[in-house]
Amino acid sequence: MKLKDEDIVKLLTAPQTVEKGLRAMMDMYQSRLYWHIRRMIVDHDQAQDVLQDTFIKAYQNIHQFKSDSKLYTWLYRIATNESLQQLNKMNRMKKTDEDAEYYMQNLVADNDGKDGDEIVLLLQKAIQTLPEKQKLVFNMRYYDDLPYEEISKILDMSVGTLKTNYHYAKDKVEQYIKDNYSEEF
Amino acid sequence: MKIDIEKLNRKMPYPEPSDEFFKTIQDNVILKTIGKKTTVVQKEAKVFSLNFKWMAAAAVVLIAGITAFLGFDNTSETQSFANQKPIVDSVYNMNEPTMSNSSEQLADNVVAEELQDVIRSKNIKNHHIASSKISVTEVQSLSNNDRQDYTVETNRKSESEVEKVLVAFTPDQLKDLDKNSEQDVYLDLYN
Repeated sequence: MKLKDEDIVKLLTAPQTVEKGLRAMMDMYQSRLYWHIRRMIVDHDQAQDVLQDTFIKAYQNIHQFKSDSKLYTWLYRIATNESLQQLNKMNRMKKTDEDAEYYMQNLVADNDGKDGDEIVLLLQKAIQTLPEKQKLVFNMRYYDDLPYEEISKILDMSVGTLKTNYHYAKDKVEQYIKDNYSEEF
Repeated sequence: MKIDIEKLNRKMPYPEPSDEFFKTIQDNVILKTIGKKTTVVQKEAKVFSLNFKWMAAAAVVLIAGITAFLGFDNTSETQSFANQKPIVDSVYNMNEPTMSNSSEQLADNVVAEELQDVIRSKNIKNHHIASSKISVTEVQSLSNNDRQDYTVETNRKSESEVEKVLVAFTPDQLKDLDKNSEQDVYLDLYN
């Protein structure tokens, strides 16, 4: 039985039902949040760490959650911040001077399931060429199919800016695929 | 070639994580958050309830028990003190005359005893030995060490006083005393 956000929050805030609330929250959002993080981080193990930290932070700051917003919007916001922090860490820890974009593209290739569509892999590589904000907007809109209003709440950006960003991101991705599809395949 | 990503299949190239993967994450999150806190909260709640109910009852029982036990002990202690006090007092009373008497009376009493020894043994050295035996005999009758020390010390004082008196006696006076004296059977037993 699926619980509503309000019910999960109630369970989380009552000391006797915290564990039940946490498990309900994770059951409901772990898959979506994992893929949101994974698309940003690419690496599976690091995505696992970030997802764990996301839930831990959500639990620790549940009292700050305002009921007028949706729980998954709030969770996406935490996950996004955690992912960006992890990406900054990764960039700082990189010993070589290689380009971050090139590094992420290689990471995508390394994490390829080997049984997927080639153009899907190329799409992921194209996304890694985008600036962070455009990458976030594109992923949330394209993969998660989130409405612009929700993305606006998650990223603290206006709907107009988001639409513009998505438009630019989409053009860049398509161009990247067009340019590289003929070369690679 | 025209590429429209909206028409592409929106799947990820990465393999799907297993159910075990999410279970592990959930367990880790529970462990790192409420896993610790739950234990602490449960302990606190139990301790609080126990403190309020059981500790109050336990404290009452404990206080009553200790009071009864100490009350019984106090009685016995009081009794023992009550028994001891007269003993101590008697020791002091026993020695008090020696302490409080005037030097003349003390000298007379002790001289009478000591002269008997002196006359019997005809030797001043023997007198010292005998007087110390007298002291020891008297002391042995008392079981308390403090009383022993006190008695020995008092007798030593009297010995020095006896010596002073003996020096003052003439040989004729000593012979007269010798004639008038009687053998001390009690002391002979220990010679």
